[in-house]
Amino acid sequence: MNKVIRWQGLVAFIVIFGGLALLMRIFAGPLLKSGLEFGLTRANGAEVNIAQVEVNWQPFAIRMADIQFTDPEQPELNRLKADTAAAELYFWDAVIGRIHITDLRMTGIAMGTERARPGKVRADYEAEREPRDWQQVFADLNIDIPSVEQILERSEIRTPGVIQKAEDNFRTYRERVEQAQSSLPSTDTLDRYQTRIKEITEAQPRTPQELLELRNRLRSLRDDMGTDRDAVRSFVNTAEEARDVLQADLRALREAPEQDLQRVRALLAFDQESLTELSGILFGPKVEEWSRYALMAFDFIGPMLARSDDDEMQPSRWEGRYIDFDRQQRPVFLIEQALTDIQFANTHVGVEWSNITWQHDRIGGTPSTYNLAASASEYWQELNLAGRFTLSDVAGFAGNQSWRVRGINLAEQKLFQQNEVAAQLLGAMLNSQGEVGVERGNLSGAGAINLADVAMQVQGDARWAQILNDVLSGIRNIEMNVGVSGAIQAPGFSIRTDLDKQLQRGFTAALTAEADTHIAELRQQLQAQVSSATERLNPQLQQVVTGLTSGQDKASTLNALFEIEPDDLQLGEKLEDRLRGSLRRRLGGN
Amino acid sequence: MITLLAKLFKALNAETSPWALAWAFLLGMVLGLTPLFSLHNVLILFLAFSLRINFSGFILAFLVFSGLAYLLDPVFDYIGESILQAQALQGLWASLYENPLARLLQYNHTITMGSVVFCLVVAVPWLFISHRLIVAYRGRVKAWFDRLRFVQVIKGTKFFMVYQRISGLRGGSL
Repeated sequence: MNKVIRWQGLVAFIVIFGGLALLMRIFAGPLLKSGLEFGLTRANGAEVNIAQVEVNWQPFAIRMADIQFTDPEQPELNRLKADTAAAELYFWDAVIGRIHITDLRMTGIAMGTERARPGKVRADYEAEREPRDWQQVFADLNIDIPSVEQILERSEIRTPGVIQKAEDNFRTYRERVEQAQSSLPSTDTLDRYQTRIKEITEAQPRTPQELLELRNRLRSLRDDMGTDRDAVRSFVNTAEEARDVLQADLRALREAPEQDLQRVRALLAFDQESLTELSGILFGPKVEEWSRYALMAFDFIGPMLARSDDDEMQPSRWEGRYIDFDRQQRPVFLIEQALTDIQFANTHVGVEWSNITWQHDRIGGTPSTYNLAASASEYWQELNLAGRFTLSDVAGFAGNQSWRVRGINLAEQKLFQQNEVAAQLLGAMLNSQGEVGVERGNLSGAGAINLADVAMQVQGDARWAQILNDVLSGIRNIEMNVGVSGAIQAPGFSIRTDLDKQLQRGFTAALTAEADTHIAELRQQLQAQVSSATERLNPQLQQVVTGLTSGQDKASTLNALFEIEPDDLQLGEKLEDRLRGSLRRRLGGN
Repeated sequence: MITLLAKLFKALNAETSPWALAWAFLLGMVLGLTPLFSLHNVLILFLAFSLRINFSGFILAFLVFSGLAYLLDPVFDYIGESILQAQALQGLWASLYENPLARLLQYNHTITMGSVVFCLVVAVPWLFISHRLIVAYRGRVKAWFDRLRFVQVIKGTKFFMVYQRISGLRGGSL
């Protein structure tokens, strides 16, 4: 026996491996802690800390305390934090890599909590979306509320220009009308034309020669009248044009002050675009924080999706692969039942989970479900959140979540702070409901947030901050629509709210009230200028109109005289009869 | 490393049983060709520690075959894949899948399965080949070897001095 067995070696082997096993047993907690921190940090993209890990061997269970997942986007915050996590699982399944947790309990879950020190972010972390930097948006916005004087300078008062234009037009047209008027025939000339027409029309030509002579006289008269008729027509056209232009100028003149005042008011009204940003600055970060609570379930599901993708990696011939011979089709990862306790608004809410896995095909397609239903408390009247999802080879990742919360009493909280301006929500009652669907790992959905009994405060020395404070103190109700889209691990949020319109109305009202005195003075000044100009120009217009009437009279007189044509003149009756008898005899008829 | 080689040469030339050396080569081969962190290698280490085999030979064989394993891994992967996908064996593999010990042995890993089967197939031939080579070395090769010019050169090197020191201590000779 001694020739074959080396006893010292055997003892050394037992000591080495026994010692290793003993150390692993004794230090299972710290070893597991290091392994979990390393693995979770890789998955999270930023530092994950676990204060303590305890292993219980009989029954096999793991208990973790103070788990913190650094938010890679904001390393000073935790993406997720849990006070404790305890899981009971099957030991031998765990040894062969099949995690089957019968019961998981997590307490004190909170999102967006501040870390004691900023967590480290992995160098290879790639942000899936660019976070919106509201502080930078605020800086870019460069809010500047002009004084009333500045607005008046900027408003380009046009009334003096309109007065000048009207006066110029009056001067121009007066010259043209006067010039045309100087060419008009006199009344005497027209009387003479009438006398001559009367002589010609009342004459009784006895012979064709006399008739011919009369016709020639009429033609000569018409030639004489033609020049005057052209002059009258030219005058009437000029006078009519002058009347139309001058009447329009006077009309514009009367309307000019009001248009100027409207322009001033429009400048006092705030730019809608910039106010859209302002509501985003005020509520953007908070809404994102609230939305993360609403979508917190996906923070648990996200890593499973990543794990599911890993399964699809191509094996390497240099590393080999593990072949799955699981004929019973049991899932590699399954949490039958879990209870997570979420810290929200200084209280705790329980969320029940069932069948958490990424291999729903292996549990007969039964979806993973989660449900939060809290009865009325001092913090809310109703709190409901429910969701279900499945991950299958055929349909991919699909699911939906709906929520409905009523009467959440929001305590005093900071909305925004930068430089010397700070906005605070003093209190509000939050109601919200919405639905989010998931298809192939992408979120799409929307929710409505209603804030009632809103009390807000803006503090700051800037003039706009004081005005904003006045405006916000008048707002009692805010409606917001939050759109959710993007990858499940990095959802993006968009906010549409009626706060923009309310702020616009409030700002405009505040500035208009401040500007009322100035506007009244401006109105008086402009009205005085216009009245003076109108008094000067109105008589001139009347002159044009009177001259036009006279010209039109002359034109109608001349037109009447032109109605008699040379061919209208005929022989006298006796001569006509004699000529007719002579003609019959020559022809031999009766 | 030089000391290790010197010890191996001492073992080759001394009274150490050829079988002790052959078994050391065999166990070193298994440890070197199969994935190191596998449960079956704990058994290999147990045998290497507790049986009177030449430990220097075992370690040197492990180092040599570890290098060779990098080249042979695709071959092991192919062998393992073929065996694990064989229709006739599917029932066996499926039943072993529910056995924690089998899973700890990583039987369903293609390179582990391929390399272990390869080792099992070549183990017996390799054992006898090793034995024959050692015996031949001691009988004929050593005398011929000593006459070689470069061996004369080696005898003047640091390696030889170390070897001599070890041989002197343990009473061996070249």
